[in-house]
Amino acid sequence: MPFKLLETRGLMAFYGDFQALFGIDFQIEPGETIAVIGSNGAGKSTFLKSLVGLVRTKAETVSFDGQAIWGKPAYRIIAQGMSLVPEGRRLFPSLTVEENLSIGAYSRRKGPWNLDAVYTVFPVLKEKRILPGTALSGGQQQMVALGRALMANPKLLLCDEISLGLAPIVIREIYEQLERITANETTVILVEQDVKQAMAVADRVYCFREGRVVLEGRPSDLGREQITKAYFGV
Amino acid sequence: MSAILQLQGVSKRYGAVVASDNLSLHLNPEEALGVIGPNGSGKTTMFNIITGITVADRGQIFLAGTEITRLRAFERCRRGIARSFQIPHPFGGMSVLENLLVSAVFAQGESEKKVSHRCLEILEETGLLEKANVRAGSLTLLDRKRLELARALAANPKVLLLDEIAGGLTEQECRLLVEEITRIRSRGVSIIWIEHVVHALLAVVDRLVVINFGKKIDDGEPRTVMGSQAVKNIYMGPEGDAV
Repeated sequence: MPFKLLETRGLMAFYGDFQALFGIDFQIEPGETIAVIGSNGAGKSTFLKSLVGLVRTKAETVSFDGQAIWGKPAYRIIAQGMSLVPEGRRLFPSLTVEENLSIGAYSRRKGPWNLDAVYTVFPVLKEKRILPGTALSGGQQQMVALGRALMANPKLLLCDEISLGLAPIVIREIYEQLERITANETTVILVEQDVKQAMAVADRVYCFREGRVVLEGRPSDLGREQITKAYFGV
Repeated sequence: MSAILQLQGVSKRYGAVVASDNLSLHLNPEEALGVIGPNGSGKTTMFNIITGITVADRGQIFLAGTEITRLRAFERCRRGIARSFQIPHPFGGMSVLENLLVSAVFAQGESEKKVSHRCLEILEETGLLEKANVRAGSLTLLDRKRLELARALAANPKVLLLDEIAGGLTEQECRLLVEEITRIRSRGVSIIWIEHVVHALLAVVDRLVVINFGKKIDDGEPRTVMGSQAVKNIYMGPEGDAV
């Protein structure tokens, strides 16, 4: 059986008494790009937050790189090699572009990503490195958020709605760079509401609805009607 | 049939982002209208414009034939428009009942004594009666969502705007919510419901509108709209491409 970089079985997530995930079974192999699709409120972002320890969860198993990570705090999970690009970018407004990037390297993990490598992928960030992160355009801020996550040299990169609120041309540019990033043997889970975009880049796709996995497969094996039905549930 | 609520050519921009693009829409009396659209498509902006929280750059809004475009939010509320918020905003320091009383007294211009019985009835209908004296800030998320609906109802609205209230409910809770909204409509309240839990929406609404990039893309019989090419294109991308 191939090695699973990440595996969850029966993952449930809660906000107070509000249950957002109902037993998610999920697997990803090294080098894979997986897209998680679903409408607003399906539990996609909660799933990513659950993996990095930002949400209260219960599970039979959550293992990452051969170790159980359930219940560990976020900083330990990052140190083990998982990084999240959060929805809405969440840059530190008082820090410059370069400081925002540098803070991503807090865990001091070794690997190919450093400031030079990020500036090579996103040259515009080098030009703007002394500006406050929030003074940049939406697309450039997204590049900072991606770069900050990469600075932790993750084995598994989690991207939450990186196309949200961006112009189509900017989305295309960011996804092109993402392909270069994944070529660097980084494994990626991509939460994306733009199904077409998600299917174009993913090796496999999971469709969530109301906190459950309702469809899973390779884009080439899934028909449009099948996805539509899973997505809406009608 | 003249519309209870009408939007004509409403536009709103935030910098380069067009949140509402020449949007025209009507709601018939006693109708339940569903609204779907991807994240960021301008659905909540539409509610903000209808309620007066956001001022449109262009366009007009009519309530029962009277223009309300220039009225402030509280004036629109007093004329019969009430809403729930996607992220609940209770008055956290007040009790659950007090939250409803504020809404009822303010919107209806009646004394607390006159509206209190009706407020208790609403709490019973929405399953919050046992928590009437609980501080709203201490409620769980689900109860806060119930309170959003209850507080909007306490304003005794002619037009009720519901913003994603079914998310996170269990199937049983969702069924009860559908029954509750059906009951509200049967009392003559006209409803616009933004919702991603499509099966709940389709169980209630008479008509479905689809919004994307601030524009109305489709408008019609709910199941026909759900099966339309326009909806598939918005969510799945144009046919013949990657999907």
